[in-house]
Amino acid sequence: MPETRRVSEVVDCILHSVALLNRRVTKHVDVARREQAPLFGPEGPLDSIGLVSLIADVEESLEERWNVTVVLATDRAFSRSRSPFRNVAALAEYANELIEEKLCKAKSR
Amino acid sequence: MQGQVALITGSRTGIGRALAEHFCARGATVFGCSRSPVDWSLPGYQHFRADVCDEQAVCSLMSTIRKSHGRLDVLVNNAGIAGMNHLFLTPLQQARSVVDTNLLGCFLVSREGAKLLRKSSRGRIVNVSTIAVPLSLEGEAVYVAAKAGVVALTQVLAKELAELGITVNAVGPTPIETDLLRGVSEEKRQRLLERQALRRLGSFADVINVVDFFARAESGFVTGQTIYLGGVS
Repeated sequence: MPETRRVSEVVDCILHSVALLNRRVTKHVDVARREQAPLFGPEGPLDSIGLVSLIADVEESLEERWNVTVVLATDRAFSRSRSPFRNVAALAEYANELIEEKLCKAKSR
Repeated sequence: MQGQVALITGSRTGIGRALAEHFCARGATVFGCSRSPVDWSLPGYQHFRADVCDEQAVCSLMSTIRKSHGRLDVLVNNAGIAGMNHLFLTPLQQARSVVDTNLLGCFLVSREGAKLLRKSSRGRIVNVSTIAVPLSLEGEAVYVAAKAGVVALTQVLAKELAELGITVNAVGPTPIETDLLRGVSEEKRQRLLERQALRRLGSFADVINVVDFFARAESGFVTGQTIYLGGVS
């Protein structure tokens, strides 16, 4: 699958998870902004419990789509100078990296 | 427990197996795991070979539960190994293994398990610690430190997971005739019993009683607690 197409599908997975989360939280993520929608941090509406719920939902959604178990809360995620959880685009790019690694590993087995 | 979905780590033998038998007998669907395969089977029980310190193995286990049941109701973090030696006689690798299995295993399974427990109407985590913690038992420094960490983890996770409707509690058993105790001398056992208010070895039923209490629907307002058995506090 071409890289850009997969990133776009990851964005869809994230936005789907965000839409589900929006039903359960009081401060909503602005899904109309799609990739540019802020998630967590100075501009993001999510509190820590909102973020962990989103992480769990996105991991599940990615597994359903690509059949790979991905853990988003890695050392790499938290050591980056710019958080991958700041908006949908950053999370999609980061999640795509993890999926790519998992798929490559599975292929090489 | 009827209709509940439970995961018990370290379920091949001892307390874990007794809990699996108890939960299955009460109509729960029980998943269990250990590093080695089991040589027994139970209706309603499914066993996985998984090391609680192995992130990929734990994720795969949770993935299987999610695909088959979509949720988890009760998680018992029972997997543990002991390292019973004086400080000078404790190799670093043994110390690492004890911390990895007892503390980090509990952390890892809780982290991944909570993602499924939040989908339950009453998610429960019950961690297994030990009375060796309040007794500051000499000769088990790293084991006690790791299990003290389990108590601390219990208290913090109780706060972090409360908003997801998950309670987190711990039970601290006295010595029970299990694999862990087999290497302990009779003299040491007696000395240990003398430090309990109730001076007898514990039984699986004693532990099951406390786990049952934490797991039941009526205990939804109980979280962050550790119950030590045998009158040790």
